[in-house]
Amino acid sequence: MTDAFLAELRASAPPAPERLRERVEAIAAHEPRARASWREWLQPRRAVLVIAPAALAAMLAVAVAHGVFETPGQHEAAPSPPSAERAKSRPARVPAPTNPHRSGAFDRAGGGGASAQALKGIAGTPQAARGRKQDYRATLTVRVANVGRMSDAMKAAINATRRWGGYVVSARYDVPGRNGDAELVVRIPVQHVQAAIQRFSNLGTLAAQDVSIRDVQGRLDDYTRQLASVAKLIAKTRAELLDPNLTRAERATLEARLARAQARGGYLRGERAKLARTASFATVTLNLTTRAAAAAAPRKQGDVERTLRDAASILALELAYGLYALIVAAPFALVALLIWLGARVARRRADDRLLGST
Amino acid sequence: MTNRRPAAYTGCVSAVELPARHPNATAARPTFAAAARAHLDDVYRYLLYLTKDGTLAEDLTADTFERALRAWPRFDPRRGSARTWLCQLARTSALDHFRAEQRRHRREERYARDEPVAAEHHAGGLSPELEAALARLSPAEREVIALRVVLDLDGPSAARVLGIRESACSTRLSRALDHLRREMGTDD
Repeated sequence: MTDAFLAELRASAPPAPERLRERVEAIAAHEPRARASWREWLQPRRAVLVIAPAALAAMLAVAVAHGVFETPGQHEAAPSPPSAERAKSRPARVPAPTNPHRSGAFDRAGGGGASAQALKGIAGTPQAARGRKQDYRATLTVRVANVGRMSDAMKAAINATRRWGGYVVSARYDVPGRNGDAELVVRIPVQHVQAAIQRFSNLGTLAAQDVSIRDVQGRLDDYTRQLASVAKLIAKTRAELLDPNLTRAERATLEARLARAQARGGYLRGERAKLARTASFATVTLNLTTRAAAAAAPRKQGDVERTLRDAASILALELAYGLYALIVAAPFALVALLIWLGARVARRRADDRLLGST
Repeated sequence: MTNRRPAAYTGCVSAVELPARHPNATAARPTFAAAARAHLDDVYRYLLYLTKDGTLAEDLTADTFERALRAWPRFDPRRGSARTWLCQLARTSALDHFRAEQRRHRREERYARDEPVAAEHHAGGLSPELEAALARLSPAEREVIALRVVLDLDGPSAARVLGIRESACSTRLSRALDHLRREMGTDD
């Protein structure tokens, strides 16, 4: 159907009045800058296209950086028992036992397997720092050929411990059948701990070793400072008590203060002595076993493999955090989206009502 | 009168503009002054049909171009033509005006739709019958006629201006034309 009025509508479309044309030309005389600001450029779709790859790249960069830069440091701090070759070629990489100014933190080493040859030098075993008090703990797992050898090894370890001036804390011997396990916990003067580890490692095939060192020098120094302070207080209080002009109440107060200070001094001396005793002996746990599985040394990882593994673990951690954030934020985002959609629909309906199109 | 749903409009509307995102659509960006010169009449006509008031249409047209000047850096020719974009801005200006009017009329307990039709001859050389019939249409009906018939916008562009789907736009145009025919007394 060709409606005549359609043609009329088209034909008689009114042009804009001249005065409007002048108004608009005046407006258009100020040509806006062609280049948009970053806010105008950063539309939501563009933002997603830019931010998502950037975030992904940042995650990968952090993971790779962690893998590349952190792994060598960890490697030095936590060396596996070195092979003979490594012990020979890199003796300088034997780590310092701990940060001498860090008190209370354990430095750990070991955990890996080693061949019997590796025990000759135990070059990778952290040594106690000279001149500092440290809490030194070592755990060795040694495989022996049979139950008879295990018994001999136990006796040898106990004898050696006594020879060095140490003592046995606990011993367990468990031989239910052909195979057996034994655990010996000994305390050995720290100056002999390296020799003890070497001696114990030579009792069989070293399957694993774990060394933890905690510096306690800071705590000892702290006790010493406190003791000096308490001693000063005691001396001062005693001097004050010599004053004959003291009232009964003042004397009672000073005596109470003196008693408190003396008690505090006794406590501090005891704690310091206990700590010093702890630090003067190393705790060595020797696990003996006849089981072959215990002697299976884990496959050594190369630097590249370790770097990749560390990078992957950081990436997994990042993803876990991202997922966590997503789970936490998702309900809020959903509510916000629903509110936005609802507001949009409501506005559109209001517009339709306004124009009478419903 | 039957209450049947009108069929979608399939009348003659020449495709002056390529639809948005058409692969052959040109992405050339005109200057603002050129776009204003080229589409001033279209914006004015659209607003004139929507408001039924020549003076108001002039004011809203000027307001539209002021908005357009501020928003021009955001205009992306790949997403639609300048004419479509300007008509969208014009519609926003008109709706803002209607809302403000509605609030004012609410305060006075009256609605803009209930106001008597302005007697002004708004559309130039239209016959009195056609002009009266147009005045009896709702603003939504007049605006779809303005976009599709007077401005000759294609379906996708008109739907984009109205913020609805293309099929809904066709249906709205069909209803509007049926209504106009009835008002003109030419309903078959």
